Amino acid sequence: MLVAGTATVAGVSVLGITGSLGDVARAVGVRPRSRPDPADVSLLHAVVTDQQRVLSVVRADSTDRTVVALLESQLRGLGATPGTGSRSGDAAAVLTQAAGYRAEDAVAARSPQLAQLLASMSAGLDLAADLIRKGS
Amino acid sequence: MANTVTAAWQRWLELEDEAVWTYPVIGARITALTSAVDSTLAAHTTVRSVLLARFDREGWSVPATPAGYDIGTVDTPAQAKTAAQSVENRITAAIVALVAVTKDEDRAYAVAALRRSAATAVTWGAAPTALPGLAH
Repeated sequence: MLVAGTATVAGVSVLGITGSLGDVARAVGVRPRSRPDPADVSLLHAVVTDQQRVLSVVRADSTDRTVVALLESQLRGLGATPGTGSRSGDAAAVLTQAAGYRAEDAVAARSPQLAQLLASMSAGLDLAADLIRKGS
Repeated sequence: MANTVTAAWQRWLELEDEAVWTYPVIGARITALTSAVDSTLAAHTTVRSVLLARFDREGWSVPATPAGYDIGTVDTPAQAKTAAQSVENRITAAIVALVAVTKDEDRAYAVAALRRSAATAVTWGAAPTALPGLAH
């Protein structure tokens, strides 16, 4: 579920998001007002879904508020509202797996700005996994 | 476009030069950090060698290396860590910029380097962030 809001990431402004992934994808398009690449729209949708899954596992498996806040920030960077659910799992393992997925997603992204965002998310997920491991 | 791509690689190489200059200074002044300096310096030296080989293959102009860098006062471990974080964070940002102008294998290489760079910055005391190289 996306909400109205503004997120600025490395000069990319995700503005006026009103409820569809298409709006977000347009916002991260190569040129202002350019039509988003359908592949990027699909990728973005999948990334939001997976990031929500990761957040739900971390909520259930860890009391580390720093990691939860980090994941919520990443979701907001995508223009999404962080979910509140939880599900069982190994948080550190899920974070490490997601970091790998985001790295692959970054390589696959058509939009340079989306590639940057996903690459940075990958690095952030690595740091989150490390925080969990050091805290446990 | 070629100039933009080359400039992004050059910026990264410039910062690897700075890192290879900075860590021996830290190690010389703060002996308690010798072990951390050695491992970090070895990693940067390897990356710089890889980049120089790439520049040679591509026939790109290698940026001039200054005689030295202003890394601030390094009399205490805290100051040393600040200097290390500075160069690591700038490397992370430079690699994020490179991600935007590369594709396929080159982008994959940059993403992997970004993940290592962000982790190294945290090793030197930087706070983990959701979007390394992008977060402001």
